[in-house]
Amino acid sequence: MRDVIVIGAGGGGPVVAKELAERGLDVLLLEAGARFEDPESEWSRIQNDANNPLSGYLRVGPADRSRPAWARETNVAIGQASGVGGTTTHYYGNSPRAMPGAFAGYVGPDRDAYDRRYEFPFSYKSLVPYYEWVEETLPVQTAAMGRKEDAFFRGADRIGLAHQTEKDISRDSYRPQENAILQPKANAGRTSDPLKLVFPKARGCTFCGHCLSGCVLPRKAPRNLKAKRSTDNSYVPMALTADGWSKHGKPITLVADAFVTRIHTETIEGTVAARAVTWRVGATGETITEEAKVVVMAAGCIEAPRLWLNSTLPDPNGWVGRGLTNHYLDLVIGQMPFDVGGSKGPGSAARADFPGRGSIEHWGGISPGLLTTLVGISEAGISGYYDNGLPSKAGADGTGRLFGNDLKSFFSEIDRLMLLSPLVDDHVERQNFVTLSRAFPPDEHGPVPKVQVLHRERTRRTLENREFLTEQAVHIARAAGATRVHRVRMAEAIVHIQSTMRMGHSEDDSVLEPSGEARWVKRLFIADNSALANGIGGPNPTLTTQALATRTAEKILTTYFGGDPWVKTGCPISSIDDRVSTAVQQAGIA
Amino acid sequence: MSGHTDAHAQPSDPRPLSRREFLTRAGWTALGAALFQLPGVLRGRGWLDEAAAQNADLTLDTMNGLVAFAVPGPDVYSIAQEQSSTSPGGIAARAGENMIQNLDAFLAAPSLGPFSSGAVPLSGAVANLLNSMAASVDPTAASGGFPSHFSRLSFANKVEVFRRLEGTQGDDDLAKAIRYLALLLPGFAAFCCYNEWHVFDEPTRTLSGRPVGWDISNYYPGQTAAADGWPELLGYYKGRKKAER
Repeated sequence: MRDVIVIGAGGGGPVVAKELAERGLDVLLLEAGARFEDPESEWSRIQNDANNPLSGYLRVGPADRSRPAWARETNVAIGQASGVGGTTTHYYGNSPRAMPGAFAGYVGPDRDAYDRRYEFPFSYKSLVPYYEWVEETLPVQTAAMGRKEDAFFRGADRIGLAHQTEKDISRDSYRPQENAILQPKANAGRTSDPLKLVFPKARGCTFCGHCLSGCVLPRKAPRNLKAKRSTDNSYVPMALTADGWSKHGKPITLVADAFVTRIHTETIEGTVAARAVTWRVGATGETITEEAKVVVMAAGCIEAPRLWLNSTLPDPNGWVGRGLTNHYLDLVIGQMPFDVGGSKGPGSAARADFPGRGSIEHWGGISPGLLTTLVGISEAGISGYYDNGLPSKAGADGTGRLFGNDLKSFFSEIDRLMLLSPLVDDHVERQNFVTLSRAFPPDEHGPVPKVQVLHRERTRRTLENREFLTEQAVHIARAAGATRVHRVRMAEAIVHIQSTMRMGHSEDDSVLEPSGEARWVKRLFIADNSALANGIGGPNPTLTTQALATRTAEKILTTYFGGDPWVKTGCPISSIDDRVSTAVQQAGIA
Repeated sequence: MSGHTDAHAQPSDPRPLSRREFLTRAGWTALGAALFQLPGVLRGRGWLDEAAAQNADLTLDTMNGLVAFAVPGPDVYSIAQEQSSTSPGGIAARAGENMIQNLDAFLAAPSLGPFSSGAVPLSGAVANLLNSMAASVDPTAASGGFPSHFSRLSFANKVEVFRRLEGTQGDDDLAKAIRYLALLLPGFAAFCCYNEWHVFDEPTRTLSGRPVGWDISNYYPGQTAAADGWPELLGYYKGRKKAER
């Protein structure tokens, strides 16, 4: 019997696995997708090969790319990835902390601007030590800037926003991102000559512009010293080598191509508790069952509720899968009269935050195929022809999708584009959910998930927040010098998926206890974005999920294994520590 | 609360469904299933062009009309729609073929025996939908003399096809499926026009030349591979390298 089985090697699962392995527990980490053992040779970093949602190497699908992506019944376009690293393989490493107002006990004057009904069931202050632990471990660093960030900062400054220099968000402000990306050193960021961009001639981010396609740079760097701190480059290498850098560490067992189809429970003296999991081996179809003292679900906001329901676990209040938040994204594009290097550099290295409203992510580093796809996903019709009754441009020159020569013209110089995405503080709504599809046939893993988001049917506050943030984004683009600004008014596209297995105060509207343990199944915890209580006020969710996963790991050790808490008294070992690098190289991890 | 569950019990194997059962079960909720049934449904609504059966040449011809709409070039489809361009577009990128490949991989259905690829082939049904709506927008369209009714439309009338598809009334699942398709299809066409599929050498995972989409967006001038880095570093904003706690 294992001590702990963690289901899912994405943004949260490896955090729990590493923390518990560091303290000597026997941990099995299961990942449904590919292992990605040698990404330098496996990943071309080219858009269709990497990011085609049906066939790309980062798609949500089996390790064998000749087989179709996993089916989902949905009315939305979903931005996720599978394989070791999960969605962090294509994230931008943005690691802002949550808005303090999203937590219990918040007493700021804007208190009522937040989703008070579904607040986190503990204080922001109590989570800060866990933030700090993760920020040291990844590590999180203040982003350097290139030309595209320079233009953004100019615009943000000109509209009167304050320059934020602290980690905690407290006012309307702009700043360089706090990114889980090693910042450039030596030749990195200073050349495009590939011979000069090999480790250790280059260290940290080389400004290649391919965050979305998985980070393999600098070439020849040990896996834990690749620039972007996706979990395949940070927590997973640490977990696999825990005995090499931790006195009491025990390396985890990692099994990829292992799709968990069922969590088994037992009932002892009237209490239901997790006991084992069954997974299917993708390559052979074999099913394997292992027992564990504790099970941690971390398969993501869509697969976690699916697995729960397919395992026929209890759902007495009907909140399993409910309350999906997704930051109700929009997209504003400024056409600049000069080159800002829009396709180069880190995916996002600058942002603005508006407490009680949400955030604006400035981004770039994207290929023309993916960008024009996003511009094609609009609820406001085709620009210049029809708008589906949604005429609001929020101050921009146009809205809706661009096609034909309008599209070609607008995107004729990709390096002159400024991209701004409002990340809305969208409120938890029961009508947005994940459940099991009754329309699609089951696949080899059982009934497939159904994802429903009623895009326009949001709370008044959510709708107002989106308009407010979009107007601010338009102001920033114009102040930065944009000669034409376009609002896409994005339709049903969800990237930051959160809170489908939410923790909360009340047993009437949450799935998890404040500890991260399931309300109705003991010894079962959840440690991915689905565990978040709400949309955290708008900032990118990964850091908060990882801080919460660290807190959950501590609860597991203290509750079920007799261990002591460590975060408030200990000192984290960074994933780029020399001891970790040595252990990773000795283990032959590419 | 649930009762005791045997730790070694296996989830019941989904019983393989026949194609007919699948289509019945899917009703109108599933996009793919809905599309697969569209010919019959649209016939009932008076939209279906009987000639628009699932024909490979017709499907490609329709997709070519779609990608020329998304990204025009100097090709015959763009000229026929009265919106062309001197620089290459979706036709030069063979985006119509790429669309078919992607649509035929869209809906995984491993338990459905008839489809050897493990997915429901959808491209023909999508072509039917576009051609049926095209016939209702301009029944006499003849520009270019293409087999596909959609490809014979003017650019403005192609827009009208999408306006009507997006405006499909009703809260029934078919209406939702059509609106969803109308929402995603043009953007995905743009993706196919701008991506590297047409010059990607799968065995070596390299490009045999510059993608059309890279040229028309001036992406990576002169390059034929993903870059390892750029000399873009300007420094740190206001010299600050670390956030205050």
